[in-house]
Amino acid sequence: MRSRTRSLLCLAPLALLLASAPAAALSPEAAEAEHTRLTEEMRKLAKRNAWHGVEKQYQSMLDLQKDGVVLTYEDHMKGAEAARELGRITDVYNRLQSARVQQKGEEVRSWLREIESNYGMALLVRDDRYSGDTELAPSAMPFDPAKRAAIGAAQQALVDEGRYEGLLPHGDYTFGGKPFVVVEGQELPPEVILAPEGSNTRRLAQAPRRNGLRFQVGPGFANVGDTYSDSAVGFQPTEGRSGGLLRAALGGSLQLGDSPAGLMVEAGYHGMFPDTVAGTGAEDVNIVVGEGFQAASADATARMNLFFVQAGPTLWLGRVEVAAAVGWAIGGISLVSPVACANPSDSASNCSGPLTDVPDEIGGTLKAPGGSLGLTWLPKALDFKMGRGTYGAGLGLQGGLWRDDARSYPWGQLALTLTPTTSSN
Amino acid sequence: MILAASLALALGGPAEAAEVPVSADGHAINPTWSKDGKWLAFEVNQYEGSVDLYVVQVENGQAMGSPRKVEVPGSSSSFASGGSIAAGAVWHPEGTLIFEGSSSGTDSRLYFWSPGGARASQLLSASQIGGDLTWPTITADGGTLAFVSDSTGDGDIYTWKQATNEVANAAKSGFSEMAPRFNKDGSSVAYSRKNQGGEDLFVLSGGSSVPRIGGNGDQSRPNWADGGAVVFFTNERGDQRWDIGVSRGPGDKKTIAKDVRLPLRAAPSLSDDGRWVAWGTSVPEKAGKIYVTRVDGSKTVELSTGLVAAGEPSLVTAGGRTWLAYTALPSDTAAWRQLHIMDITGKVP
Repeated sequence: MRSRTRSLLCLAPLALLLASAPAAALSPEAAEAEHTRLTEEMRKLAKRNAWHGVEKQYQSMLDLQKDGVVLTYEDHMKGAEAARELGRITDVYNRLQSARVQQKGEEVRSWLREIESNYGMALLVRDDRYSGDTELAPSAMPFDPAKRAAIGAAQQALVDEGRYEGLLPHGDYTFGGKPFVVVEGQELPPEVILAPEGSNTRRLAQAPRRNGLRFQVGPGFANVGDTYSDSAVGFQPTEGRSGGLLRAALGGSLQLGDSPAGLMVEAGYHGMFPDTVAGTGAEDVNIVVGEGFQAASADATARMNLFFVQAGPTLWLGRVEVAAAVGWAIGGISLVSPVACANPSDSASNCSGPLTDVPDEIGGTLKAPGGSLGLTWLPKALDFKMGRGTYGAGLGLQGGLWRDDARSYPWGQLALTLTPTTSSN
Repeated sequence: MILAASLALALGGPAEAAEVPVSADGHAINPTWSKDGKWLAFEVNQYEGSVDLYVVQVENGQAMGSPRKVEVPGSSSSFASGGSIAAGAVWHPEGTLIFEGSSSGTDSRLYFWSPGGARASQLLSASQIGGDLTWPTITADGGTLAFVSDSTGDGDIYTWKQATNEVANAAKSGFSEMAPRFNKDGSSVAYSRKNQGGEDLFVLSGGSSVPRIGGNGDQSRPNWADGGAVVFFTNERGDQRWDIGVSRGPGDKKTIAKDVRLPLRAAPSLSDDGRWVAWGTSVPEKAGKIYVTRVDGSKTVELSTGLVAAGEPSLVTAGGRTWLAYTALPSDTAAWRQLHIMDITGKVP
C-alpha cells in the first residue's frame, strides 16, 4: 500500500502540469461550436452583470484562437466591458484595439477616445521594506463607476503585489502621502516608488522583489552506492542498489537586494523506493553450527527515508532559475543483501549470510552531508498570483549527492517547482 | 382651480419646431434634457415589453445626427429575445447619464453612460444594494444619488454618495416609496408613498420624513419649484382626471392646471428657474397645444404645435435660449408619437 501511495505521489507533479497544459486542439467545427456556446454564455452573464463570469468566458474564447476561431467584434467588446467592470482599464484598451481590427465603427473609436482623454499611465511601487503609509488616494472619488473600479483595482494591486503599472483616471492623487497627478497628454507617466532610503528605485521600478515560498516535488532515481573499498568491515553488503525516488521540499526564496541573485532554504523528504531483486534474499533460518543451511528465496531490498535541509544561492536568467545548495540529510536506511550461495556445504562457494557471520542486512540511521544543483524553466504562461506575490511554476532537473563514510547516495529528479517570480522575468 | 387671473396667450399659429428623427418603431416618450442643453435623452416604447433609451446631440434646437441607442449590457445579441428596458434617464451635471435598466428576466439596476463613450455600465453593484433599483435622481452638484430599491420587499428610498461610495437607507417604512426628487441644495427629498390605495407626498429632511400632501387619489411624482414649493400630479378629482398641484408647506395645496395629459414616467417639467411648469392637456380639442404655467398660477402661456396629442414636455434653458422638447402624433391616424424640439425663448417671460 505504501509503495502504491508513493507511486501515485510520483505521478502528482505530472498530473499538475498536464492539468495546466493547454487542452488538445479542437477541429475547426468543434471550435466554432464552442465559440457559439461561449458567446451565448457571455451574453447571459452580461445580462446579470456577472462580469467575472464574462471575463472567464472571454479568456476561454481567446484560447480558441489557436484552433482557428476568429473572435468577433462583439466578443472583444464584451471582453472590454468585463475588463471595465473589473477595473482593468489597460485590458479594456487592448480589447478595444482588438475589436477595432474586426470593425472600425464609431462605437469602438469613441470608447477608445474616451479612454485616451480620461486616463493616463502611472507607475506606483511599494517596496516590501518600506514601513510608511502606502495608501493610494484620489483627491476626489469619481462618479463614473469605471473610473472608480480602475482606482479600486490599482489600490488592490498595490496591496496584493506592491505594484501598479497601468492606467488611472485623470486627477490628483497621493500615494503614501506623496502627491502625483495624471493628466492628458503627459509626456512621461508619473512614477512614485515607496522604498527605504538608498534603495535602487530604478531597479524597483522595473521589477518587484522575488521573495516568498518555494516548493518542489517530483520523481526521480536514487542510488545507494557500493560500499567504499576502503571502508571498515561491518558495512557490508558492498553492493549498491538503485531505485525510484520521491523527493519533495518546501522552503523560501529571498532576493538579494535588487539583483537577479537570491538565496533559498528548504527542508524536505528524500525517499528511495525499495529496489526489489526477487528470489535472492535471505530469510531467517535456523542455524546449527557445523551444519549447513538452506537459503530460502527472498527479496533483496534497499530503502531510504531521509529528511533534509539545504540552502544555497539562486540565479535568475530570464525565465530559468539556477539553484545550488548544500545541506544535511538524516533518516533511516536499510539494505538486505542477496545470499551469495545456497549450499554452505560447498566450501568453494563464496557465501554470505548467517553462516559466514557476515551481516546480510544493515539498517539504521543515515547522516550525510550533500549538495544539489537544479535548473528550472518557469514559463511566463504559468505565472500565478498567490497572496502578495507572483509565483512561477515549471519543470526542472535537479540532481545531487549525499555522502557518508560508507558510500555515496547520488540522485536525480524531474521536479515540479513553484517559486517566486516577477513580472519582469 | 385655475386662478381667474391666469392669462392664456394663444399664439397666431404653430410655433416652429424641429422633429428629432427616430427610425425605430414605437412611441417616443419622456424626453430629458442634459443640464447644458446639448443632449436629449428619450425613450421609445412599442408596448411590446421593450423600452429603448436613445440619446441625441442637439445644437441650436436641431438634432445632430441620428439618435444613438443606449443599451443595457447583455440586451443586444443575435440570441437576445428582447424584453429589455432602459428608461427613467437623469443627467448628471457633468453631462453623463444615469438610467434604470433591465434585460429580460433580470433585476432592474441603475446604469451609467457617458455620451460619445463606452457602453453603459452598472452604477451600483449588487453587493452595494440588491433588488430592483428605480427612480434615480441626483443633486444639483452631482454628489448624491437617490433611488428606490425593493430589496426589503417594499420600495425604500436609498442614497449613494460619490465621495464615500456608500449606500444608505434614507426613508424606510412599511409602505412603498417612489419618485424621490432632491431640492435645489440637496438638503431635502420629496417623494410619494403608497397609502391605502392612494399616494401621498412626503418630504425627507434632516433624516425625518414629514407628510406634505395627502387626500383623495394620488399625489404623485413631486418636483421642486422656486421657493421650496413642490409641484406634483394629482388625480383627486377621479382616476383619469389629472391636475398639477403646488404645495408650499405641509397640508398646503393649490391646483394650477387641470386636465393634464399625464406623462408616462416624468414628474412635472419645470423651467430652470423653477417658476414655470410645462404640461400637455387631455382635453381633445386642445390636445395639440403645450401649456406653460407659472407655479404661482398667475399666468399660462399656450404654445401651439400643429400636431396631435402633444405631451411629455421637458424644459431647459441653455446658452441664453429656452428649449421645449415634447412628443406628439403627427396626425390623428399616425401610429407613433414623435419627438420635437421648440425654441420658446421670449415666449415664456
